Amino acid sequence: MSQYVVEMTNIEKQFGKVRAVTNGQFNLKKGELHSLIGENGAGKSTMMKLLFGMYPIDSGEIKVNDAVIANNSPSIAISHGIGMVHQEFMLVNELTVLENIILGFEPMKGSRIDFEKARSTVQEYIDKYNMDVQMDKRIDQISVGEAQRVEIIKVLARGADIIILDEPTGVLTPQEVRKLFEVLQNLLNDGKSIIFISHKLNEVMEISDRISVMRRGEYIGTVNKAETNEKELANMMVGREVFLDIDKCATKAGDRVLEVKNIWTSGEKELSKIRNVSFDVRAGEIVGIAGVDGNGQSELAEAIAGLRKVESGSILLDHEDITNKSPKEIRLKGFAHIPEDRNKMGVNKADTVANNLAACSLDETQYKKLNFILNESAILENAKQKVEKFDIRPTDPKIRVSTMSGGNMQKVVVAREVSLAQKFLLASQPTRGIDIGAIEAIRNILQDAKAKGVGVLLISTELEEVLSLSDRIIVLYEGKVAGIMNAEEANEDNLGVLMLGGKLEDTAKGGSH
Amino acid sequence: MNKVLNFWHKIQKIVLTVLLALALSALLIVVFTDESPVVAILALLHGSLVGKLNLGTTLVSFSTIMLCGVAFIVATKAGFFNTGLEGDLAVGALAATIVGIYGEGIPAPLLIILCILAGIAAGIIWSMIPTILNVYYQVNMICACYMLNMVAIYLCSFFVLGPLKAPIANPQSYDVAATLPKIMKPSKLSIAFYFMLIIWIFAVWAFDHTTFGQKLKTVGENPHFAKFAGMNPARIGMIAMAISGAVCGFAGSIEIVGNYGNFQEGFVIGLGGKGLLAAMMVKSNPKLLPVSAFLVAMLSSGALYMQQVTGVSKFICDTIAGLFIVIFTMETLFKYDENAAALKLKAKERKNNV
Amino acid sequence: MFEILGKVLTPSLLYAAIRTATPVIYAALCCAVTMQAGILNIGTEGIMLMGAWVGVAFSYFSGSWIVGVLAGMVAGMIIASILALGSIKYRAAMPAICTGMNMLILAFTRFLLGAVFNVNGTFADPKINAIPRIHLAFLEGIPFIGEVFNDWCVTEILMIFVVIVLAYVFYKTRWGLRLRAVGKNELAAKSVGINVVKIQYQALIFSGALGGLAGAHLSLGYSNMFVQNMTNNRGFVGLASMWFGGGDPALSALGGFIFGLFESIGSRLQPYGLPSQLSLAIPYAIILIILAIAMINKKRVTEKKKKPVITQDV
Repeated sequence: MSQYVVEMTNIEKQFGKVRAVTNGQFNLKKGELHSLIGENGAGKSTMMKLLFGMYPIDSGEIKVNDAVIANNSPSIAISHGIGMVHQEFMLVNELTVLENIILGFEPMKGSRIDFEKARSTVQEYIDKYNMDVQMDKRIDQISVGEAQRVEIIKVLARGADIIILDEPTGVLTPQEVRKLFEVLQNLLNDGKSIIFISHKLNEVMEISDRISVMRRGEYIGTVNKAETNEKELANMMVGREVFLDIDKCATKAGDRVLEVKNIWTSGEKELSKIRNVSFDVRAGEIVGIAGVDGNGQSELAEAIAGLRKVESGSILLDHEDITNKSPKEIRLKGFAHIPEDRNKMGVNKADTVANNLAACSLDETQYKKLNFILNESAILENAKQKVEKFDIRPTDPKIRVSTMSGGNMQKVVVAREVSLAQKFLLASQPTRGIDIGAIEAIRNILQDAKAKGVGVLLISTELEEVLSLSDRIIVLYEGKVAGIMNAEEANEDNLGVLMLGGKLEDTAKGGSH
Repeated sequence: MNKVLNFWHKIQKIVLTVLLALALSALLIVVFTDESPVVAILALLHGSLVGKLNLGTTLVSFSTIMLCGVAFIVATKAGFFNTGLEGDLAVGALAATIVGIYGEGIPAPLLIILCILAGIAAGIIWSMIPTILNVYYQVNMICACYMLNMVAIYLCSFFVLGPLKAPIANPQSYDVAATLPKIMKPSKLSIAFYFMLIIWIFAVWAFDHTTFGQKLKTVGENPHFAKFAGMNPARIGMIAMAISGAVCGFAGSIEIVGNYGNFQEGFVIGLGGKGLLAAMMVKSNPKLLPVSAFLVAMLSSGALYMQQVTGVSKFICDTIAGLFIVIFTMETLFKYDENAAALKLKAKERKNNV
Repeated sequence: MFEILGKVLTPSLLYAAIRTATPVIYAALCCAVTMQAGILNIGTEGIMLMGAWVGVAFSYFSGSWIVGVLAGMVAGMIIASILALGSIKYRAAMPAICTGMNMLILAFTRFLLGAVFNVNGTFADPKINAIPRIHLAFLEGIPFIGEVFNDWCVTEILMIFVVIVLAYVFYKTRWGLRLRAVGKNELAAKSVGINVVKIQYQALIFSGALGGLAGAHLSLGYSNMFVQNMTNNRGFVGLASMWFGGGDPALSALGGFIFGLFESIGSRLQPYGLPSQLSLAIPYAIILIILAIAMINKKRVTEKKKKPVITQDV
């Protein structure tokens, strides 16, 4: 009998051409809380979904209580006492709390479900771990924190001793987080083992026994909580990256082109995802927005672009109010936008490169004849110019975008948007998931735009990208501005602290590097 | 070699579907009648193609099916499954009939134009009802369309058998005061046939070469991108449905002022379905539409002759078409599944390694 | 005006409404079962028509309405299985394959009418054994109750039971709970080890049995003959009723009943000058209107329910 209840060794997993996990290692002792941390896309969720059998592993070995698990599936995982609380709750909104908890292993009395028995079983868990849950409410009538407790009871009721929690605090208020931690402590006291996935270092430092770090799909290392600190973890998480060779061009900041004043906006699930954010961008400067993914960057970008409703506050572009205007009206004022998700929003993959390059300007006279006919030669001519200027490959503007590599697809987006950016360019994660050559090209393009006097707002989770391009840097944490500083003052350490919810005084005290 | 294989993968589905549908139909003929399927098919071809009357009748049917097919495709491009073709067509025909009867005295060319405009307007109005209910209130489009089809058909029936009823034995309306010249007597084919060709050619051209066609395509293929790029997907969708209704209304009006000269009770029943069938057969590719539309038209106009000559029921034709479409919609049937094949190969390799 | 209303709105109107509504209610229940599994069964029209033909054929050849009804249900299940196989295994788009199936069955039943019975359009024969009506002597003479509740056809009484049984199945049994979970959140259902595909197959086949019953009742209980296209879009009316009721058996049945009520009112207004075609059109318009009202109302409620967005720090 080994000391571990879970052992995952040399795990590999690929989705299509994307390597999600390489060299994945993880183990869990009985009765401990073991955190798995890393940035978004670091592979931590995938790793745990493999343990829970949601996808088959490509290679490697999973052992639970010393038994090797082959052909894993959620039901096999459950039978081995593993339970998972997903980041996206796996609850049916239209069913009651009780129905959700018993779904899949309903106690029966004759032909009907024995709701009485189910009720008393659930009540036992509620009492035992001191969880506050109303059984007869429908899921869409309860709070997020309560829904999460429902998920935990669901897992417990299926007899789980090993509980995986995937980013459980992301959607909770601070008070709810406290409540969750109490419940987790009760579970640990009862001998359950917990895997806690997170990217919030302060929380991890508070409740873990051990901490494992993943980065870009790879296992980095495991440390004991007692022997580490937030800074070491942050370094393990983010890593030191090779700085690309960029000469930051001189800045001649002009008038304010974008003014964001006290805006509030809601997210898909959370109300008020962006909370009272204000800043401005001047002509001819690049303002970078740094932050760990998921702290409101997407919502901020969509609010500015007119794709998400601004609940309160105002946004001015070149001194004109664009709050809640349609994307088209905003674009007509000299605004352009490189979206964070190029597959969904950046291109129409089923269409040609030429048409994609013209898609935002179809109503402009240059692409029209007689006001309704497509000027195909102009569209093609435009495409040829852009393909050459931005070095898009393959060079045939008539091929479908779906056949291109990610980097070239992104170049199509960048080429189109940069040419449209008369006054202001919003670049959201412009280099995510593309090759190094394309990254460098796109960064240079952003610099050129700045040199021409365009105001650029660069939103990126790559700290190194923000640092090397920006004139000023804003750090976004939990939907609020955690700090604004000039590029000269900023470095990975002080930004890192702000990104992870710390205060700058802390680094000043312990800042010996 | 690879090219040949790829081409085969592309066409194998159509070929196999046709073969399977034909085989099942032949089986039906053999089981239920004494005729040979080959004789039946020859009779069908004769009944739909030989002689001016037969060919003309096929072409009349072809025109309407083409227009309905175009209407369906326009809606499909914007992401709507428009089952309301028949209702739009019916109200279009009714509006044209009313204008054509009460507009007696107006010079013929002007009256015909008015009839057609009335038909188009009626088609647009009728198609906007389910569209608005769907876009703003998420009422199921298919459901709403079928209800409105029934309302439209009974409404027509009311007018044709009531206020507009001609004082003769046949259930039909008074004749309209002006009709389009016929081009293939003794069949009912009129110059409306050329109008249809113009509309189809324009549609095929417009899908690829106008700004609206380009926007429609973008909205249908990636609505998120369309919105991002400054288009208004809801508005473009509604315009597409209005065009769809207008084309159906036009089809209805030319049935009156072009082909029949009056409203024959119940003539619209099944027409919309045929257009839908033709469009579905070619996966809403407007360029191929004439092929499927002609096939469907042949099946419907030659069927009666086949029944009279061979005793094989005329309904076998619609059955074949139905069989074809049911089999054809099954996306992965007969399809070479690359992913599955790759997985199998991988599993095999792993086995060999072990 | 009031005089006419007095003559139309009599207890026997309710009896007539139940009669005209029953086929639609069965169709609505057929749609409700799949709707609970998250599948929109547009093929109800075709399933029903096939059930109607097979019901008449088997009743005619066997001389027993029970055999006819059971055969109709089996036929419905076979059609639904084809739809299930096509849409689940072979990835056909549900609207497309169902529309195709409706066309196929419309043509196929016409073909079979000629091929088997050698008639065109209508098949009526004294050898068709109709579903009997239950006459309860003790109800005779009781005002209202005697008029409304006597002389019900067996399948009309059965309809009431089916509504109750379905409500029980949906809300009280294991299968029903899983069915609803699959329909509302497939991923959540999968995550607790429910075989989603199996439930979808079962729902469609179960729905086919109800659709076949709807058809068999239409041809053997409601009219005692087979007429080509006799469903006359009742499958779609059932779909609309189900949509009105949000997939709940009782509410869906209510939607079907409203349709039947207006059809009956319409036909009773005919002697008073309402043209027959309009009386036929009205119920379709009404069902669309109540569906629209239901959806508009639903939208209003959900908008109200959205919590106000916090724009102050807490």
